[in-house]
Amino acid sequence: MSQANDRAHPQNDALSPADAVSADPVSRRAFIKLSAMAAATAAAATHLSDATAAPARKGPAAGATGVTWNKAPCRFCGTGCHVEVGVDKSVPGGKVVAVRGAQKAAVNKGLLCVKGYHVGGALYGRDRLTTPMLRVDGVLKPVTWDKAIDVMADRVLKDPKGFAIYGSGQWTIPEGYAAQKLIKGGLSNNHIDPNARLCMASAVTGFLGVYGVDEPAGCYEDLDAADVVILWGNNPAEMHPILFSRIVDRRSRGQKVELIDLTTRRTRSSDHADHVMIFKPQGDMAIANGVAHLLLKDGTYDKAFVQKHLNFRHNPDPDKPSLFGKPMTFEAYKKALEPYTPEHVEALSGVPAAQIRLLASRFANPKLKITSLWCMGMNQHTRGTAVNTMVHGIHLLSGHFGKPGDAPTSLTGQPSACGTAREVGTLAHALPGGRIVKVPAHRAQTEKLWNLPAGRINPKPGYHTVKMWEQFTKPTDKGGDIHTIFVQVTNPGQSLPNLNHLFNDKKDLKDKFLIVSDVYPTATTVLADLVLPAAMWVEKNGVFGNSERRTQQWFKMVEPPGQARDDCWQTIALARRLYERGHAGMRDKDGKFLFDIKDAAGKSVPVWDWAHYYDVNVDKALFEEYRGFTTLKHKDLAPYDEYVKAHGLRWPVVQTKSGTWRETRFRFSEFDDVYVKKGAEIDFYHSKTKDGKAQLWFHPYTPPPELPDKDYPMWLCTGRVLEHWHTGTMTMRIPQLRRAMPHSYVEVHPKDARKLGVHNGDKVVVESRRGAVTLPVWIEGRGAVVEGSVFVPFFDERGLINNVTLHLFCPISKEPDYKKCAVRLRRA
Amino acid sequence: MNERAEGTRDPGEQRRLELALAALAGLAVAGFVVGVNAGAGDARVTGAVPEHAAMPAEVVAKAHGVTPAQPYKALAGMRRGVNAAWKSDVKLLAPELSDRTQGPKTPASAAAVKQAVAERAERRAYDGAPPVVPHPVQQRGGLACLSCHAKGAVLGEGIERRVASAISHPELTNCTQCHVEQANAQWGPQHWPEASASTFVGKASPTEGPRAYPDAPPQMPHSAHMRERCSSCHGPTGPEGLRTSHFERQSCQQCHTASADDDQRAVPGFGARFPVGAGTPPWPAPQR
Repeated sequence: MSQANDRAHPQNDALSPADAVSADPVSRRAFIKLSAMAAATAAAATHLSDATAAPARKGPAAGATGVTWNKAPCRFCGTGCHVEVGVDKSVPGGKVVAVRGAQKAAVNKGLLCVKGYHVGGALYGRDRLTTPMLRVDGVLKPVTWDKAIDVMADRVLKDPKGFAIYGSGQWTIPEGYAAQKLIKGGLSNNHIDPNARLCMASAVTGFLGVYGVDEPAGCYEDLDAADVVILWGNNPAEMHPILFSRIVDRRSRGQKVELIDLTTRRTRSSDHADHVMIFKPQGDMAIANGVAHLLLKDGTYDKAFVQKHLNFRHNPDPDKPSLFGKPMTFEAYKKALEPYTPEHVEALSGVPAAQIRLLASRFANPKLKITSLWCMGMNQHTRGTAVNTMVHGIHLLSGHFGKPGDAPTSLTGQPSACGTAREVGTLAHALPGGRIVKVPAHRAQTEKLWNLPAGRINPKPGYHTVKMWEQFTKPTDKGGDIHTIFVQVTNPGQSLPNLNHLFNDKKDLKDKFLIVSDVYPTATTVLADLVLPAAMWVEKNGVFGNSERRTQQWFKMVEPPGQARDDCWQTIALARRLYERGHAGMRDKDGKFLFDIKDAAGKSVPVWDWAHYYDVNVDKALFEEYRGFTTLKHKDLAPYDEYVKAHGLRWPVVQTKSGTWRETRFRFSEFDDVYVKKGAEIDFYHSKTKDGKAQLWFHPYTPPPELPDKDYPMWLCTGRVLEHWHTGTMTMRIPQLRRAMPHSYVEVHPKDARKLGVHNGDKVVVESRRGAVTLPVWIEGRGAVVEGSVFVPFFDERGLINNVTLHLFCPISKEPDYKKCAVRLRRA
Repeated sequence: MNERAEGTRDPGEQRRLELALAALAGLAVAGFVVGVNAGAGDARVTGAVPEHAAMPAEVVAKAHGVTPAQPYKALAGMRRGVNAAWKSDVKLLAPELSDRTQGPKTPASAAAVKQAVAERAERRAYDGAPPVVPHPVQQRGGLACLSCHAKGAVLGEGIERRVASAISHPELTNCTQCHVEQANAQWGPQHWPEASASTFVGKASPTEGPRAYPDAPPQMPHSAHMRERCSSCHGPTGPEGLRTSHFERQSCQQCHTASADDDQRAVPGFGARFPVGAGTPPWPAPQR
């Protein structure tokens, strides 16, 4: 039993020796020996240094025989590559033994990245969680699933108003939909939010503010057609490698594509760029205004486009910004931008005036096709919504929109941030299909589709991520009214900002209860009271939605290990237990269970009983129900079976007169989008102003909330590396990826290293006003920071940089800024 | 010249052009006449009679003055034969490979194949995975890797000998997208051990491809996708167990077919797992 306990404690786990960074080989050997002795299975623990040792089990024979191939989207980033998964069915339950890029998939055309090629390994870490565990007297002890579900139901019934679900963009669409229905349609408290809030919330509010509806209009085909690609604080060479090589490999075919890298640090993407423009943190706002200023001053903006398609908007009181602001005239807009001369922008951003002029000259040229890409750099930003609207703005102002190659496109980090978090709307204020809880009509539509009594859905938004965790880690008697959080498919104990404020305080609060469903022990399970073993990726059915509006389906291919079960089942099982124990919210208006799933003959299947969960395709049933929500915002989805046949389809997927289903590549463009009015060319048919026009925003440059000063003289930027994704819980258990990047580090400029007197590998303390972490120095490592700033990747649970980061967030999107705060360094 | 408007021609140039066109027309007429007459009355070609069914191949061949086809089994002993018109000189074919131009004459032993396959497997999570990079990567600029891997290179001698394999897909320039370094310059192997906590077992590497019959050339036992340059592994600088016994032959796919299944070339309507339907170009125009 103690072995099972150890599994849930990262500090006892192979991944988490207290100070693995210092790496004393003797203690590690002793440790491995101990782990091996503790291992319940007969399989010997292999040492990595002994890589040539024969594996315990032989892989299947060569050739196609012995391996069954089937399709699935990769489960790491939001690019949405399709992989073909090779399964050895001769092993009981089946095992994934190989992966290859699907050559017919339009997203990746047969290619993958290092993570994608090794995604199969994510299932086979030795310390997979395989049994539910409940903390009793401070120790996690195995319990039955029945007991676990009972404990969860107890926590809900104690006070349904204080029970929250925290998920992520790694939820499949049906999983997120089930959790959404449980919270908003069942418990009526709206406390559900995804960690996508920490990732792309500013992109959402950016799209809403400009177009009145979320998600990019363009698609990956833009990358094949663009003459100029601009990276706004984005490093796709490491974060979206498939999309990056799609751009740079065009040069091998003799095509010319100019890559402009706007960045605060040199990266692998910079290595391929024609122009690298290094800006000071927050300088992106000044740069966007500088481009708009020059377009207006030189008269090179697209006058016809402005006339036909744009309105102007701003927030008159910058201290009280709102998503839709107030209208302004074109003249006022022009006047507001007058101060942003190239020289002024140079002073604000550090980018030389000549480079600002160069950038503006690209937008001024109507013959060029320009695609902008961005991701966390612009989203994890205390002015995230503003800067998103500003980059859309310069594309619209210059008319670089709506033609293949002319697109402002935000990328996402999680495989279904778009499909689940954004489209299903697993956010505290949202309902499925672009609806929000505040709008009575949206609530009524949702109640109708869910067959709920009128008034079931609470009009008050629930707590967004930062607020939810604040309320959870605040003592109950001080107003902390969230008593239980059920975490699925994410690792907030590592990914929340300022962990000392938002997570670590849970430790001493006896009446707070943390439920964590995961596949491995994580920084979150350390404080969990109930740990649930989850099935992952091809151990279950699933549907994801990627960054280009593409919805992708896959089937279960192998059995999950031990007692691990689907997250969607966990949600339905909890709902059923609540139903059985009389919670009125678990019934629709006819008294039927919320998740009444029927088989082909129309008979209800008891899917809450695991033995019957796969008697019917629950994913299909939930997806078909969810489809009813998707037409309001013209994000129409095809029937489930159409996705079975395709490598994903981009919405709106519209049925043609011949009965086939047609996807849409270029939204709002008449030549491709069926919902555009005939003759309109471009039609923003969800315009906030209801005139088919997009909103062009003015935002003044505002300095970041925390600047380096005498006490904390350096900038800290956090981010990712090619090899690790999410919080490293999966990729750190894949030998090939872990060997490449075995632990975190702090990237230091040579001059700063000299000042500190440190060399490569020396340990330094990185500390802010909020916390500290000790890390080894890497001078001019994977990237190259500018003097006076440091960079730390966040994947390593043994060096939690989020003890240091800031939890201030964008006032509109509520997304925190992980990219800039003040720190100091000292030798450890 | 410079002042003249574009599109006009100087008179001398015009004359030269007319002359050239006339000469070309003359040549074409002559060529046609010669062409239609060639081969007329060549009984060896037109008069062949299928009387050979019951006769040994050599007899038939002699009667018709042609070279007999040989079974694959016999080719091994025959193919290096010299005649009056042709003399083998592999050095001329691949002068840069002079240290190993002779190559093995017989297929590699089972032990050598096993060793080569095992060494190969060490650098791959499973058969078909892109090989990991066994040396530190200090990539600055997209072409850094190609300085060695574009054409391939042999570095060092004896036990120091290392082969930088020639890449099959130099047009894909973001190398570290797929090939992950395993010897990070900064963090050495002392930082690795816990990674062995994986129970993943990859698809095993093949030792040989399937054959239609005992002497048939084997089919490729792996995908040819992004691995079109066979000589990277099977050429003279490849490991002994993978080296071909006939590397002077440059057109590998002439005899060794690729597997449609491995290469995902299944055709819609012919049993493809995912029929190509919606989501595949050409896209129809939107119907309003």
